Amino acid sequence: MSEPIIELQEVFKTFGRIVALNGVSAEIIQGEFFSLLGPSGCGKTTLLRAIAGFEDPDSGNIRIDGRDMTGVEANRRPTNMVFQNYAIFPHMTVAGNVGFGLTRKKLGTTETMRLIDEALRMVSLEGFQERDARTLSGGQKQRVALARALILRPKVLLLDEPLSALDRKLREQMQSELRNLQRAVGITFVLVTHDQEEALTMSDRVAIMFDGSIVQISTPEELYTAPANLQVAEFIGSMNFLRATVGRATSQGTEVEVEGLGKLIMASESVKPHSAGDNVSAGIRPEMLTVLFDEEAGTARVAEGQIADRSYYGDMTYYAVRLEGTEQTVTVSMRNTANRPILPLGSRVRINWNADSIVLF
Amino acid sequence: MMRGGFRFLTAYVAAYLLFLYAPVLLLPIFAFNDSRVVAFPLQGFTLDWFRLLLETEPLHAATRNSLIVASVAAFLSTAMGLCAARAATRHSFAGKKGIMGLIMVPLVLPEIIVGVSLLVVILQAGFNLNLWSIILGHVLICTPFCTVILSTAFSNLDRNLEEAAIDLGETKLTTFRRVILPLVMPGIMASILIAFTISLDEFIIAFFLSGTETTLPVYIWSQLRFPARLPSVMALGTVLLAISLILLVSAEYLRRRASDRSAAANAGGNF
Repeated sequence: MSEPIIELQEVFKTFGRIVALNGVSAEIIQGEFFSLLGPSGCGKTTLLRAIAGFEDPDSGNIRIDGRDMTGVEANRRPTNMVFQNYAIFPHMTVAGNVGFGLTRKKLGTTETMRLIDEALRMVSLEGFQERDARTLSGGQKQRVALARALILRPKVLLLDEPLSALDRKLREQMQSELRNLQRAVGITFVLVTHDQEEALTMSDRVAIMFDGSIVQISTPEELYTAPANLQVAEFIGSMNFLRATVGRATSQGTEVEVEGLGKLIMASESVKPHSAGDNVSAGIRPEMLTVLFDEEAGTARVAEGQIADRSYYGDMTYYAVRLEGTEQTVTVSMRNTANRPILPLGSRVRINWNADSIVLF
Repeated sequence: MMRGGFRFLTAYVAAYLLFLYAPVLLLPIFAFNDSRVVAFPLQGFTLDWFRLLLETEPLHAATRNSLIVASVAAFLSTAMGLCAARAATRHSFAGKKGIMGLIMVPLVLPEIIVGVSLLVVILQAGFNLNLWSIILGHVLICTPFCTVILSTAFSNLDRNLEEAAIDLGETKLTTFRRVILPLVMPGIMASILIAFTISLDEFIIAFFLSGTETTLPVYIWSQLRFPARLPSVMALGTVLLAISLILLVSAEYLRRRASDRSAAANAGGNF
């Protein structure tokens, strides 16, 4: 199960003076849903196109299913792609599009028709065979593009920002459909996206890319809770950063002095590689901070502050709290429940935190 | 002040259109006029001049020549335009702007210069003047038009469609046949029709480069020396006018359909 289907070794690609891929190495495992996540221009689409065979790396090696892909044209690779704008052939029917790649295989009409029916059923487009491709909506085009690629049973399905052109509702629906489809067919999916939420909800593993390099490859949970560096932490979700100084190691752990929160004891494991005396940045997610309401009083770790700003999202409220005795402001997100009032601006509050969720950079 | 300006502009447009189209309208009027003299007042309705066209043997030969020249020239210049347009829209290479510019130069080059220089070259090279020399000249002046029309068709084409076809296992050649050609076909038809129309009524180059066999416009010019034949020339002109109009309207129709098609192909992400 954990066989790598794609192995990338030191893949370099430049366009003129722009370095699109700066020595990318990674392994994508057979049967997983793998995402390439990063801001626009980070090289994720170039990497996908290099796997598909549309870009030749300047150096480095791409192996798919154990075979070196150097010099192998896109039409000979065991990959198929779903394009960002779907690239549906406008002069053909839905069946013509879905069966496009089968023509080469010379399967005979009955078999071809059967496979097309099956592929369309898979993407819930039964009965669309004779529809003119131009009359389809965006969501339907997306399904046709999926069926057209999956009908060839590729080893790897490559998806280039497939959901970015859809509206929010449809996008959320397609996210879970894509996930289910991937589980059903068992084919390795490699998805390129700039949308962190999309990458986190759909993927088994996520590779995060900046400036042509992969910075971290991990499960969505790990990416969120243990970002490899400041850049990843800033890109994924939102995080508060507080100035901190590493103190001495004790038997319980390492002391860390965090501005506004006071002296904490952190597990020595999570303080590494910093050592005593280092000035660091302590990152903590808004949901790991809690505004204490009266009935929840009496915890040891508490900081005082004043609500400087407030954003109400219906299910959640985000408070910007200025910490006592500092210029530091932290964002605290609170789930709105029946017995929690929405606090007015200027309220004095006490906040509490979970020291295990603090990450030092 | 505004009203006066507006009235002046209306009058200007009316005069302009009259100047532009009145002479053309005179053609069909006199083609049906029952008189050898081309002058008002009109003498009555007749189809004699059209009948005379059917009986004039050299006219038929010239018509046949013109159709041959126009068909071959249209086909060749479209084929060349296709290559140029494809190169211009898909590839970047050294000196691309210069080369594309040189292809377009015949658009602005006086035809008389093209005609005279080709005549000199052909005679110096020891070739005879025949229909092929006319075709050569016509390909030269039609290719820029074909290149422009086909470049539009190609640039409206979504590049991802080609990559999608290759991704699905097609080669470059079969991709061209299965995806690109069908999508630019209306553009190709428009290009053929435009080139055909240009070649059909081109006079100066044909006049310089024709040997013993001439095309229709050259034949018409030769007939103008005989005033008695003027009404039948007008009948001929009427026929040509009708054909040209039909060709141009169909070419424009096809061109618009081509851009609709690629526009539909590009509208990938709507709801």
